[in-house]
Amino acid sequence: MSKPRTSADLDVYVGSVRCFEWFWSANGEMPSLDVFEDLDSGGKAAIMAVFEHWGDLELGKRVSETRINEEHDDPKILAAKAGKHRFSMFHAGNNVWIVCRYYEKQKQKLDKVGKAAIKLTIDDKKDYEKRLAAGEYYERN
Amino acid sequence: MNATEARKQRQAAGKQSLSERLRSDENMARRIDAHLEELRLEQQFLDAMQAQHISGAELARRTKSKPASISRDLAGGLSSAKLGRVREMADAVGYDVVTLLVPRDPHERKRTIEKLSHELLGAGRD
Repeated sequence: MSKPRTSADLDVYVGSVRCFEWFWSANGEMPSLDVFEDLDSGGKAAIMAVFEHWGDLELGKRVSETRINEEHDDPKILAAKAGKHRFSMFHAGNNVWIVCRYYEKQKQKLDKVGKAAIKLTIDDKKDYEKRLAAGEYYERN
Repeated sequence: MNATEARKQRQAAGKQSLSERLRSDENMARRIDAHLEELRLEQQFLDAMQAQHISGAELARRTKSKPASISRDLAGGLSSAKLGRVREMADAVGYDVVTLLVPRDPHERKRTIEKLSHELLGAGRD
């Protein structure tokens, strides 16, 4: 069951170049944080290292597709990867990335679950932009 | 309020990121750092390849390896690679590998790194 979250839970990593936040749904949940908290310590460390590495990587430097991969072209949806773990994210502007959904991927191609996660991420992006424009996304505790 | 403004407010209120909270556990910090070391080594290869316009296929040709093997090396494989393999790949992109054993004590660590840096600069090839 999803936990209600507060703004104190939002920041994943504040890098010198890029910042990462969990997606915060209208009903106060952060679905990918729920999954992250259920990962074992090895999985948590591996995925956090990917966020920290890319968060501090200079703009213009190529990052390995095995760590950060483009899962959808327009709108651009990327995934942070560590082993079978995938966290999808979209760009919110000013080098802030919103981490939305979790899925597992064993093969090169996206399976049904992965495709559904990317679709949800696209919906999350629309929802984020709508609530941001209405001044309702960050204006809560 | 946009994402940057909201983050500044959270920081002013003393709210920590998940990374900071995880890193308050020494064991977790060590685990994250171990992964970061691997990522940084991979990144150094990617940077060198990008700067010299060397593709994975070209690196495979230069090291007489299969392209799939290079892909594996640059996707976590280097963490379990032998030092000789890392040297071979570095040589193929015109780099040397410098291995350092540094003490954990901060003072000794600084002193050792300064000494090694001095030696390395002195040992530079012209």
